[in-house]
Amino acid sequence: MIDINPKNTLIRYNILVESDMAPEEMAEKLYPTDPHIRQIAKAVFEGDEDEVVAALQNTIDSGVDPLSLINDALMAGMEVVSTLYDYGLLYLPDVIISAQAMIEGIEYCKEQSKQVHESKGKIISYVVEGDIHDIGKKIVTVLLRANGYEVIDLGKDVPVEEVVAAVKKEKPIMLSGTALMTTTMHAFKDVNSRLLASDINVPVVCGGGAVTQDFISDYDLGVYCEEAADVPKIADSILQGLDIRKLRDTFHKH
Amino acid sequence: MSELTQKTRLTNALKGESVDKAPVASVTQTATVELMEMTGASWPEAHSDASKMAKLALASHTEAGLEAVRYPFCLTVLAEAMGCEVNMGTQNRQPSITEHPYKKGIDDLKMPDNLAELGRIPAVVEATDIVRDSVGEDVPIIAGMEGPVTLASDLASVKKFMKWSIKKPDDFKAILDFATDACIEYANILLDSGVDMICVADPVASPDLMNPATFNDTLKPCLAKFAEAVDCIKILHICGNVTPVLDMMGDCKFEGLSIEEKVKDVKEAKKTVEGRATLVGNVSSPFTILSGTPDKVKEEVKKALDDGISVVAPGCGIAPNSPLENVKALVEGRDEYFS
Ligand code: B12
Ligand SMILES: [Zn+2]
Repeated sequence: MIDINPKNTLIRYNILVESDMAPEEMAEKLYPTDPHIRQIAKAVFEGDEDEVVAALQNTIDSGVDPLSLINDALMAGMEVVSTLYDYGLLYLPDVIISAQAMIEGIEYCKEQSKQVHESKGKIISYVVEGDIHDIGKKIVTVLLRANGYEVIDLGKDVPVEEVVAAVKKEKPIMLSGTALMTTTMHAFKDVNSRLLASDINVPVVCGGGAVTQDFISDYDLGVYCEEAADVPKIADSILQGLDIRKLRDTFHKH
Repeated sequence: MSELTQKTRLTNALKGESVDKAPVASVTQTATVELMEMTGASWPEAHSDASKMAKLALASHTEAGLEAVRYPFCLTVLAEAMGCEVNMGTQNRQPSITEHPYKKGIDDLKMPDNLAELGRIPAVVEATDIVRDSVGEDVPIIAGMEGPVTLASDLASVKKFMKWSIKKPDDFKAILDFATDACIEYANILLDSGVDMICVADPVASPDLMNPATFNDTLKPCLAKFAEAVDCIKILHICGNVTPVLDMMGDCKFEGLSIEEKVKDVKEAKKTVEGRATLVGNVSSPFTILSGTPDKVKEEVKKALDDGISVVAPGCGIAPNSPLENVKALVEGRDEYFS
């Protein structure tokens, strides 16, 4: 994690952090400006599910498409939380309650949407063998579902065999794998070679604390990405026909 | 000063009293794959089988030279006895908790009335007999266990535990009090079995997970209550950069505080807890003992001693794939420093 010097600037957001600014004050500067959207994002930040639903209802009543609020408001609120967590201004419990509020908001938006949503495609999501850190995977899974994908969630500490068997059975358009420990992330290599041995060329999108782009680039099927919010975009790109090389061109950073 | 026994030396060092030289021990995980292969006592069996547990723990004293015998090798014994499900891991992977009995809430918290008989607790108790027979009275025996915060999070699941910390403060407090009572009872079972010291590892209390303000208001009182109810020398290990909570850890009434290399300014840390606790650590487990060289280990040992560390130890649990020569270098580094 970045060492935070309160006098430093959050350059990414062009915001000057004043020395004794509370996270709530910082967040005020990061919310989207539209008043409706802002109210939803703020309720996510505060981890207040009831307020999230009330604010969503208000906004939907004013004529906004419920599904658009998933990305524009709910995820925008979660993004504020992630940013302040990355800067050490919030703690993990804050991330968890906000994620829960976002999840309930997503459910509500889906219920409210009149569109019959057909699944855009199947995706398998899992945490690598030996690793029980599944908070991030949960977030990724929810975002994929929110964006119209059917997600087969294999859970945490999933043996390589089980991943490969699930791929053969479900024939997903991609895999989303999470690893939080340098000691467990090598399981991606085994999944990669086992799939290749069976002539399966499905993109294995990898993320989570321990994983780096260089590490993932060594595997033929590997696509790396940092932000959970980018995972649905990768899936969309796959549907548009991008292959692994093009996915790397688009989503890899350097 | 005349040569002290290993037990007296470690006891004195942890109490901040004078010693002939700083002791070297691991208060956290001690087993490595090399030791498993040398002894034939391997994970996962050594987590459950008393004689294997004892044999493997002894090896880090006899083969690696550490001046204490420390076991078990995981933080799941009490959690399992309290109703968590455990995946026992593999030869080089520690057991982890897979199911949590109180995910739904705290309505039916139930303290077992036969804790000493449950799960692997009898094996740990039996291992103490075997170890004591083997090393005699002069070598300290350290029992490791999960702390109240980690146990509470195992019982409720980390996610629920964290959620309650903000949304349901009463439930949060209730599960912590329950876990604290269980820890006290278990620690006293361990003491009755004849161990000399207890190391409480409480990774979930780390500022990596919990807000330091929560530590101060709610977690610290649990740790202090534990310390008051368990009458022996105690060490508190919390993972990560604990600088923001170190002062509060100093109030927890443990003799020793075990810290990682992530605490950047050890001299300052020592000043912070001076008079209340001594420091144990802080040779990097992942970067030096696992992936460094014996020379790098010795260098960090000397730096630790210069900075005022009282007991030379790995910063966190020794990773199972660490080379034995790096563990041995902990003692060599200390010997060179004091020669
Ligand atoms: C919470 C936590 C725990 C909790 C886990 C609870 C749970 N159910 O997940 C508990 C307390 C149980 C735990 C246990 C352990 N932990 Co832990 N833990 C952490 C901690 C503090 C935070 C992790 C987290 O949840 N972050 C928040 C989530 C939201 O982030 P994330 O998962 O990275 O996900 C985000 C992105 O990465 C991305 N993402 C996630 N998945 C994917 C997938 C794709 C495809 C993409 C594109 C993106 C993406 O989206 C998410 C949102 O932004 C980290 C340290 C840290 N500060 O990171 C240590 C850490 C991961 N743990 C560590 C360790 C060592 C352990 C233990 C072994 C400790 C022990 N000795 O007992 C055990 C592991 C047991 C096991 N076998 O796995 C080490 C790992 C070190 C290493 N080897 O690399 C860390 C790094 C701490 C440290 N500095 O030492 N831990
Ligand atoms: Zn640790």
